[in-house]
Amino acid sequence: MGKYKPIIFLLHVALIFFSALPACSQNNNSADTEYRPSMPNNVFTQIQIRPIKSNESSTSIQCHASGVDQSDWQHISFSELPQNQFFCLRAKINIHRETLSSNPSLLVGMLGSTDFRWDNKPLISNGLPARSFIDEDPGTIKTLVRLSDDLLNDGEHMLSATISTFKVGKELDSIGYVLAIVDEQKLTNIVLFVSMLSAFFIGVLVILFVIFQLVNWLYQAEKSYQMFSVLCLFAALLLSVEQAKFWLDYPYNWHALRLSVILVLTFITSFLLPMFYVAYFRLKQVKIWVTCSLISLIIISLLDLSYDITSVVLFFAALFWSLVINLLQIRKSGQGKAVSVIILIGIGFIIFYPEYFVEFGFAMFFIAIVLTMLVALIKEMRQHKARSLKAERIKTELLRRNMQPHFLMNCLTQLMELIETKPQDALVLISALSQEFRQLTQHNEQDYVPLFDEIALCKNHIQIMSIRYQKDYQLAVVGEVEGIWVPSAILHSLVENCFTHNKISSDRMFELKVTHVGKLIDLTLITPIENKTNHQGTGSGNHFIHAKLAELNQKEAEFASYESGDNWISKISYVNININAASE
Amino acid sequence: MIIVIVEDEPLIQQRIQRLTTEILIAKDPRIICFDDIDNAESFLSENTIDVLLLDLNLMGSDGFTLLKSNLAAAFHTIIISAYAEKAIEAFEYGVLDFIAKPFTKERLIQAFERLLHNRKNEYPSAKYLSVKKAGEIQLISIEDINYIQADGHYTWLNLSSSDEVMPTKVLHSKNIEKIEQLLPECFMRVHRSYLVDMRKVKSVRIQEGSKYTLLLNSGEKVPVGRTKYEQIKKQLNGI
Repeated sequence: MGKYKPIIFLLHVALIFFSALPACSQNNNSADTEYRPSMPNNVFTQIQIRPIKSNESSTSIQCHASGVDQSDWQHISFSELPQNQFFCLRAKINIHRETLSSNPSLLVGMLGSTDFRWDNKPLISNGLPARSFIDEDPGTIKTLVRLSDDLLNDGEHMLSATISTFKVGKELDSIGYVLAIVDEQKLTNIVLFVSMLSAFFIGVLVILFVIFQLVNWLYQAEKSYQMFSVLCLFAALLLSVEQAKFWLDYPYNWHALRLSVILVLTFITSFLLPMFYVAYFRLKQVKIWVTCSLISLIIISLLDLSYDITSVVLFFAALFWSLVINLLQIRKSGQGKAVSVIILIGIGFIIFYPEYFVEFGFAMFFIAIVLTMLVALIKEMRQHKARSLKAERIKTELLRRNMQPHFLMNCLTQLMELIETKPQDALVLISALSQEFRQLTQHNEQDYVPLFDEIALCKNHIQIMSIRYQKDYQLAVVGEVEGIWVPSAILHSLVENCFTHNKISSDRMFELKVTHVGKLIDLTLITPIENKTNHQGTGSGNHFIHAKLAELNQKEAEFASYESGDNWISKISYVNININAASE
Repeated sequence: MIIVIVEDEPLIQQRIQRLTTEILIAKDPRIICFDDIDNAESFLSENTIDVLLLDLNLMGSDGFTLLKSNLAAAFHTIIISAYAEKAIEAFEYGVLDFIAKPFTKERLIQAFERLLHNRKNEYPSAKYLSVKKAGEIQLISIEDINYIQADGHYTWLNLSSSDEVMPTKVLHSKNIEKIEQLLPECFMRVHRSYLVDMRKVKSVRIQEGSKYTLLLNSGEKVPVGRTKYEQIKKQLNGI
């Protein structure tokens, strides 16, 4: 449960975040509440616009005067502001002091240059509205002006403005975002909160980027670490550009560019997300996954949807592919359950609240995904550490396993006896022993050795055992040995194991069958044992072989060992890896 | 003197046999060799022998099970093994000696001397005694034994255990001399037929006819040999 704590914490943060949302959206949407009769006070109603033709001026059409002929004025909602126009806007508001917030300020969020008046008195200008593209001096995307008390008498007031919107640069769904009277203090607090939160997330992502770059370069090069790191970087960039509107008051003609950048970053992030899982699960069909996700993302980009919807759909596609990959992985190995659940939640979120998703959900959700990745990666690092420790241990164990003390001590006892009785035979045993030591030491330094060498090692061991048991053991090899490599010392370990645990018959030969289908090698060692054998296996020999195969990352390798009639049979199948060929 | 050797490697078997014959030549040794424990077991169940020289792979649990069943028998067992790290455990279960391979003639002489002269040794003493009861091997902790009473070639182990499963008196196949060899210092031969854990003695009592008796904490009384009285008194005062 402990590993999900960060996610739970995050969900808490998300809750706080969303509870702050209504405050925002109330302000955002107040322009749309004009038709709600229950709230007639302190919101702008009857927003009208009228283009200023080339032969007119704002004065000639009485832009800022109230009670004039309104026949050629057009009623709109604030989000329907026209692009590439020089026009006049006016809106009515019914001020009711008692219900007005404590620090009333006018908040205008739109793409355009504006010159606002309050009851025909200059209020604020943002940039310089003009009749043409060339003359217009673009204003910033956001205007906030404090409304002094003398402006806010109870009763009806009129807000009017000359506006030009020539420099948007691209056809957008909407260029008017907010026109409302807000509590300045509240707004500042919300902006501060959102900025801090996103700065925090961006910081986290950047730190993760740096850490995983370092891990990749200095500790262990892994595609999944690299992928994760780059994903964090792009997510950080995306989040910074996305949230820039909160703290950066840029001229509105930059807005289209910013949206394009967001789109490109979303595209890259959406591509990297499923690719991370491809790398993390080490899937083989990389090309297929790359093609699938790229094609779907490109098609979505070409659909000519609005910026926001394109972003959402792109991310939806990324989630879809990630979910597919994770679900396949659950079937394959049981990994990916937590991630799938989070992705499902995310997909549900996108379907039910697409508008919140763009504004806030994306960042939150992305962080959640990143956290699951982080948990998974750290788990993997732990496994990796355990694996490398184990690999070290195996290396040191190899010699000990194949030159076990009891083997050595028994041999030395034999030697004592031979020296006292048949010194000539002692020399033979000493040569065979030294040969075995030399070969084992050499093999110990390699992961794979040619099967031919391994067989020589086994034959030497069998010779030693022949002397020890005063019998004539023989090893027969059936099948082609040339070009086949074998994890070092595993056959030797099998032979050694058989002698340790069984009474071996010398009437029949040891038999090693070598077969291969494609790259898969099958080795079958048939050991003749005497009928009445009590198998005293402690399993440490088998454990060694399993560990060795695991250490060499022989994932499809199989090992089985069983008694069959008066034989002890050990079967190993593994992928042939030719060291020379691999290193070329 | 009948000696059984269990050793699967012919050359080592030959070595043990050769050296044993040389050492015990005066005792007219009769040596029977086996290369696996199963054949040896069936021989041992039908014959009386003096000592078992056993090579056992003690790495698995099977090895110790086999060992314990032999330790319940009347004869002493000497282990000759390459698994030197198992020596202490083997002593705890009551082997007379543990000879690590490779071994010299001198080491074998030492072991036989201990066997023949009923000498206590410098090795770790037993912590358990194996007894065979209804075909099953039971381990009795030395700590639970109050005193041991000889009964012909057998001995009775008198236990302090209040455990109902374990009766307070258990028969052991070894004679009192052999048992004494395996026990720690705290056990004292207070009488020709009695071995007592001196830590469990409450007091010494003089009875009519200048007979002495030990009163144990458990309330049991154990006779004291005439010649042993002074020694016992000294030791009790010392404690």
